[in-house]
Amino acid sequence: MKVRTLTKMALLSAAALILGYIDSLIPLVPGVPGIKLGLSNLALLYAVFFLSPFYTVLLMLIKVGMSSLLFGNAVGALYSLAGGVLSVAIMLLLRRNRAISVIPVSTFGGIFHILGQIAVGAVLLGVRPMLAYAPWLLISGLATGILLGVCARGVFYGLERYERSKRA
Amino acid sequence: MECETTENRRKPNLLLMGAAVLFVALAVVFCLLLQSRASGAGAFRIRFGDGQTITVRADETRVIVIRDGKPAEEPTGEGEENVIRIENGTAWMEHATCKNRECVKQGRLNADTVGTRPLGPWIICAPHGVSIEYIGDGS
Ligand SMILES: [Zn+2]
Repeated sequence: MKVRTLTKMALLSAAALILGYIDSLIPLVPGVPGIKLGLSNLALLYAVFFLSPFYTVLLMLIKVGMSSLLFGNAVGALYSLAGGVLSVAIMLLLRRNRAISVIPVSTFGGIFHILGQIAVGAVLLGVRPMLAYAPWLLISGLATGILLGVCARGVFYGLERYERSKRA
Repeated sequence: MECETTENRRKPNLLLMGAAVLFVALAVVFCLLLQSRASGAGAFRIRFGDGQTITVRADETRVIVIRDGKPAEEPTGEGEENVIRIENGTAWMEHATCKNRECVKQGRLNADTVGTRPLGPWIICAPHGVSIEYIGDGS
């Protein structure tokens, strides 16, 4: 089990890193920085649903650390850390209620990720530019959260069927 | 993982999705109501990474170099650098050393573009804490 978790963590970290890189190549709204699909959150969503909270937080920290080491500066890391902490916190909190499915978990994860970034932006740049910036970020956080949730649901169904077919 | 979707299972999910949409809608309206609108040919307020600001009249021609949060003499392409150019009533980020150079891609800011740009009167370099704002008058 330990080795299995370790392998999963390594795979998820690699997946998060690659998805994050692909993400950075796709500009969604020209002229508005920071609007991303958030593809690497697929790996985090998997962790929220199939791994323990400990490993989910660990994966988030690995993701933030690796991507800022490879593609950014310290302030960039601060933005993604604030987003990561808030989104993982709300996703784990919602996940405690087993009736809540992956789409709302992903949606709230997306919105809270944006809220973390807006908070850091308000500290670093002031509140006034954030008033112009936040609507774009929030709407994109909502939209990509829903989209990613739908994708994750498809992936989770597929994985479940695969696991069941292995057992049969 | 359980994937049943009986009525009882669906209800909290629908409520949450409604809450998410409502929250974003209210937050967007709140931001739009509080936004200040620039009017008339005026000036640009430039914010350095360390928090200090300067105001430059729009009809001036100037190149402003910011390095590591502070004004600098010449661009070197090193450190956290932004080069802002103001010319003929237009301001733009000519060069920056930030990750994706998102600020450079935000284009030109002047009295004509302020109403149609996605970020309105702002050019923002989020990683460097640098911003350019188009303001009504230079006072
Ligand atoms: Zn920049």
